[in-house]
Amino acid sequence: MIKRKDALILKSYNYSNSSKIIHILTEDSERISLIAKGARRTNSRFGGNIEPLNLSEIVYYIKRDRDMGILKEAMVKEPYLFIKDDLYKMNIAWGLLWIAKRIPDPQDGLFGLENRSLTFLNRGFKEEVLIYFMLSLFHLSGVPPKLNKCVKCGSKEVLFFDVTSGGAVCEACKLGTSFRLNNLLNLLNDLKKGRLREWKEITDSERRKVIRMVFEYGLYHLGEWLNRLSDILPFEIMPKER
Amino acid sequence: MRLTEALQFFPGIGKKSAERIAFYILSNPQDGKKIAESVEEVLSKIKFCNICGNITVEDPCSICSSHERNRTTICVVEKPMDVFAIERAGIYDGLYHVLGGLISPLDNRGPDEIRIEPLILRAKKEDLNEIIIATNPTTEGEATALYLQESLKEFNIKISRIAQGIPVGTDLDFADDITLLRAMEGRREFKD
Ligand SMILES: [Zn+2]
Ligand SMILES: [Zn+2]
Repeated sequence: MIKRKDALILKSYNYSNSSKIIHILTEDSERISLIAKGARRTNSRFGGNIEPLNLSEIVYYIKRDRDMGILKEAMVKEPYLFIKDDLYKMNIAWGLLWIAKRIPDPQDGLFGLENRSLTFLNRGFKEEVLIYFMLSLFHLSGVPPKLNKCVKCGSKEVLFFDVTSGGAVCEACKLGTSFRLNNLLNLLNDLKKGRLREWKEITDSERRKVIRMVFEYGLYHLGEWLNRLSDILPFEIMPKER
Repeated sequence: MRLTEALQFFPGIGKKSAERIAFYILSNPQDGKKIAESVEEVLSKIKFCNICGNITVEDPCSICSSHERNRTTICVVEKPMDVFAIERAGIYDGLYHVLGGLISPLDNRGPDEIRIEPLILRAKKEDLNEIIIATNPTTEGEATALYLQESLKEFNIKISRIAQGIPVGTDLDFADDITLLRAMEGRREFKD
């Protein structure tokens, strides 16, 4: 069956002397592999259209959904060039692509989330995009942290965040492992809604705290597969000793 | 037959060509022996050059030990085949540095997994004017180039990137948007 879809290119490998294999995330958040015949030749019409981190419109032939398909056409729609020209942003983008490639069951909506996040990065936002992405991913995966009232007793006086409890907790319900957040809960709410400018208003140590907390929440609620993300992200974002 | 199967490991050799080569070897045993001996010789002597990382028989390799070459310029490439391609073109007379891969976090390959540290040491030790970054114009090649630029900027050495654009002998209307953009950015003035 011939299909025409928008897709995010996650990875491309040399296959034979002349061909490449690409891994893509399609607009309906399916992960598939396609063979791009002749793509390694200098006169290939695939050219830069199938480079990782491109949003491209592709036409492919696939027999059954589990097979490898054959790429027929590819045309880049958004190359995210401002990301590719900046090492720091590129490293964050690797993290986002890596999640799309490794997440056990890509949920509906992952494609849209990836592209919204890459668009934020492309426009100039940085590590705050990662927080936005993770909070939205928790939501897609059905494990959103509750941020408005205490997960345990429902009190509105929340000053802490607890990973294992699943969100904000009050003074009385906090555990030894809870993070003290104070006003940072408002920030999380803003980031979740895509209001990324608020990130500029907090201090470096507060940023590190939020990043660590969100990462630990991911490990606990999405699974240990996420662990390797800390090797991909730059040291400034995620210091290796935890 | 095992020989035809083995021959098909070679790039560009399909079943038909493998059969033709196998048949040639059978009917010309002397030539077959010569090939077998030279393959064995190469495999027993081949190593990596300690300085540039290229494959070589002598260490350091003939390029690194040559005094005929421009020793103030290093061209950084991904793999030994790239050195071979530039040498074949005969357009460059400086030294090389082979990274042995590109930064590719999705394959678990970070900067420490490729030969970046040895390049930084060379930049410190050798008397260099220029380092030319000639990694492929792919997403990974570009990311590696950015990383190298960042790591090398503390030295007083000119860092350049090979130009990107439309391949010679092809059609402009076949080029993708990014290639066209890069070609436009890399345009140059006519000199008379
Ligand atoms: Zn409570
Ligand atoms: Zn050498």
